[in-house]
Amino acid sequence: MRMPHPNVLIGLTIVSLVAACAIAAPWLAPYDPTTTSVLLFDTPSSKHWFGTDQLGRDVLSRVIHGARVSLMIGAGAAIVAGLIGVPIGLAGGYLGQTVDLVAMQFINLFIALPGLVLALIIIAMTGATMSNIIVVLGFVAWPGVARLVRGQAMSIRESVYVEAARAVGGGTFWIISRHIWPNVFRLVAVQLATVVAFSIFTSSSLSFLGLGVPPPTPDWGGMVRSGVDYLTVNPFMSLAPGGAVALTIFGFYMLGYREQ
Amino acid sequence: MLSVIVRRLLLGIPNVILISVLLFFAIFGALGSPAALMLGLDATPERIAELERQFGFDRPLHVQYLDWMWKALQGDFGRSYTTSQRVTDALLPRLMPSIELALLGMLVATTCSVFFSSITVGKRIVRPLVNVASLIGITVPNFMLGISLMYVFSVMLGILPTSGWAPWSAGIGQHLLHLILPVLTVAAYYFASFGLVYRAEYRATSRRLYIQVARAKGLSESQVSFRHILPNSILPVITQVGSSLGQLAAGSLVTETVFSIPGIGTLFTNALLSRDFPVFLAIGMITIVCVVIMNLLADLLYVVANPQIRLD
Amino acid sequence: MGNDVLIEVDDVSVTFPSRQGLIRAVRNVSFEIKRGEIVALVGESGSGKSTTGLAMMRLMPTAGISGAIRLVRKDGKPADLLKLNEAEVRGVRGNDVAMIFQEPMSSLDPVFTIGTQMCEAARVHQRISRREAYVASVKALDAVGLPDPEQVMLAFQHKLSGGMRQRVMIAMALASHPSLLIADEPTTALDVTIQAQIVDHLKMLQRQTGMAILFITHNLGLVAEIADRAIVMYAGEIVESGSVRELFRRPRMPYTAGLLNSLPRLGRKKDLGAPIEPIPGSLPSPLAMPDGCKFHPRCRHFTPGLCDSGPPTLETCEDAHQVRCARWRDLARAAS
Repeated sequence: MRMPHPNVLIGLTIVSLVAACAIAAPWLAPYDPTTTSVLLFDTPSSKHWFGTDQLGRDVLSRVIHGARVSLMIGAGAAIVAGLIGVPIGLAGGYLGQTVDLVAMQFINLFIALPGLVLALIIIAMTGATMSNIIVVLGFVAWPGVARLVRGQAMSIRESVYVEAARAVGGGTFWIISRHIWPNVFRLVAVQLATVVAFSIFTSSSLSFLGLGVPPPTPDWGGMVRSGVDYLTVNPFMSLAPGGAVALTIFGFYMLGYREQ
Repeated sequence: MLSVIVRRLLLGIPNVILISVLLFFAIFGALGSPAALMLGLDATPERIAELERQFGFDRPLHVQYLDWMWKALQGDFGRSYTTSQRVTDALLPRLMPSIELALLGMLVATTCSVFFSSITVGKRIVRPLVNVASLIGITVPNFMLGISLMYVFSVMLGILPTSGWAPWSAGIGQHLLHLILPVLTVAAYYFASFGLVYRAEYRATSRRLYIQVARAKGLSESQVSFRHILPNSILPVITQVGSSLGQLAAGSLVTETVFSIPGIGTLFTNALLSRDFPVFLAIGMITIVCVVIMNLLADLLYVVANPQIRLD
Repeated sequence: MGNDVLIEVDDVSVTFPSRQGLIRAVRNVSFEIKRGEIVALVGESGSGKSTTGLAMMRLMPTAGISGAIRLVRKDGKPADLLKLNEAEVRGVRGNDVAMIFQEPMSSLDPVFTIGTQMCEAARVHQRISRREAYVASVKALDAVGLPDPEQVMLAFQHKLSGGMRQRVMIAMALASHPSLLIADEPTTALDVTIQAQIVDHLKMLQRQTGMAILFITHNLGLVAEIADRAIVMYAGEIVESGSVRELFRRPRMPYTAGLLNSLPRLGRKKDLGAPIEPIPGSLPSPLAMPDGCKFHPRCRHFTPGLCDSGPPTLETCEDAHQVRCARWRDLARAAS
């Protein structure tokens, strides 16, 4: 197998790091993220690498624990987007004509909408729970996935080996699963990394605005929000979780990098 | 060409209607009684029913929709639940800051991405810088970027103010000074995405024969880049600008919050948090209409600007 | 350099980097063009003729070019084009040496009018006003035979036919009155009837301006029509050169003879019904060049031991007639 692009390797490293934080948080974090203390607004020291927040909680530990929420949302949204987008894209791309027309109309309708605005409205209405956020973000991302899958399915449909499969008498479902899907899969997997990046981008913005997972669950966007007022006291309250968000998004973006 | 315009317009209208219907029904239909949500957990059924009657929530859904739509087209979006102010009165003064932020942000993003991607002199230094800036724009979310900028320039260096808004009455200098950080924050993402689109088109155009011909005439690389490659590569960027402007119609929510700018975005967020339906319904609808219109305009611009199609 | 010589290409080689190694597209090519001469550079696709032309304009930034290209500039002073920096090269392009290309359909910028582009060409090297440039451009368009030049100035390129666009290209190339025009297959993409018109206009313009032309082509018929001298290239090397008359009557290199034999010929009765003999085989890959004479795998007169050992050198047979073939003497004797 060819050596993947260095960018992809960088992404893989970063994502693994974040995943490790998410999975092993209780063991990696030096303190419990919810334990308050009297050491309010402590600046970074050897005891607290990023200092403490307005309730005396260790910022580093909260950042590490925050990885869980972000990754769960990101992965969840990607799965939802894939579950909706892939079948629609495959159906439209392979079956063509009326099915495709309907699929395209759907896709075009949703792709132009401002994702953040819609996500905000729906979450405000339904309440900000983890599952709601995951579903909504997945719903915002599926048109992009569907469009990609559709394009790929269409080009493969015309290729020679599909013709051959059809000549041998392969049924639609069989052809799709045996011939089209494996080729589409690779593309989709890469695209999904981008969906994760986008979902973390959006969900952290949502929680910054106050519409994310409610406290006391440590959540990066929310942490940034509460830290804004204390920039002069302990800037890491905002900068550390914010940096974590940026780093994670960067990692997934690199993972999904394709040579132009 | 007129037929193209008309055709696209006609296709756009059903889209708007469809989306607005979906939105309306999603909000009011799928989510149970707004009155119950408004009153909270300790609401009694009687209070809920009374509120519903008061606001007309007990009417059939499509009646509510048509009623709202009819009034909306006349500019009456109802009254805010929290302030009892007419929604239109709450919206109007906040339009200016949001529009300014959006337009300036787009302007900075477009000119910078196109210019710095077209530069031929000093490419060795400029190109890596552009790549780094683009990476930052795409991966760092607005709030983090805004806060970082705020930290560096306001807290650490103290040369720029933390709030993004000084009214025009305070003088144009002050006004623009306050806007520098917010505009940069908004522009960052679009600088990256426009740059990507532009550079792809730029590469394709550079391979065309007429560019080689331009060099053969004796033009400098810089002249070739700005006079011939740029005009032929800019169209996809313009289309992107169009659709991006639509997205900014709800105000740049995050940036406005970070820099305390009194725009539509902060109004929208506050309305969401306090379940103030008329307000955020109105803003949501307007945003969607704007998005569809801007996309339409961008499409049309593409058609018009292409001399080959124009003269047919 | 002789007193009449305008440009002297001296031992020029052009090398491209590629994944499989360095490709030498042009090898040790030397020739000169006198003022007012029309020289044809002849060969199949891939022979290196277009590359030579582009190298003379320094339009290949990624290639390595060795040797020297000495040009007598308009101020009378000679300069080695390969030693000039970017700014100086720009002073040469379009000014001393101009070039027209093979595809008129994509040679013009689609977003500007013809007029804008013509005036741009006129004002690159000459300090003239817009008005003067406009007037000069209209005259130039008229000189290349375009009807209603003022309308053409206002038009966009997609309104013009291929032949018209190529005329515009010629007019544009001549805007700064170059001493040398390099024409890279200018009529290949055009109709045969248009071809003839363009060639006629080129000849007329050459007579009027006294400029030299390097006419790059694979069409021997055009060579006969327009050129005084011809240089035949094969696999990046010059294999024969001389006056057109000499070359056509007494080709010394089997490749040249083969090219002439593959032309359909009208005229004498005994030629009718005579079979057209194409040269068998195809150009060798630049990565797998044959030893010795590069043409030997396809040559009727191949002699093992002679033609596939050391590379043949370019020798002079008659005055101004050079050939690169180890057997040219025997073949010449056999033919006479």
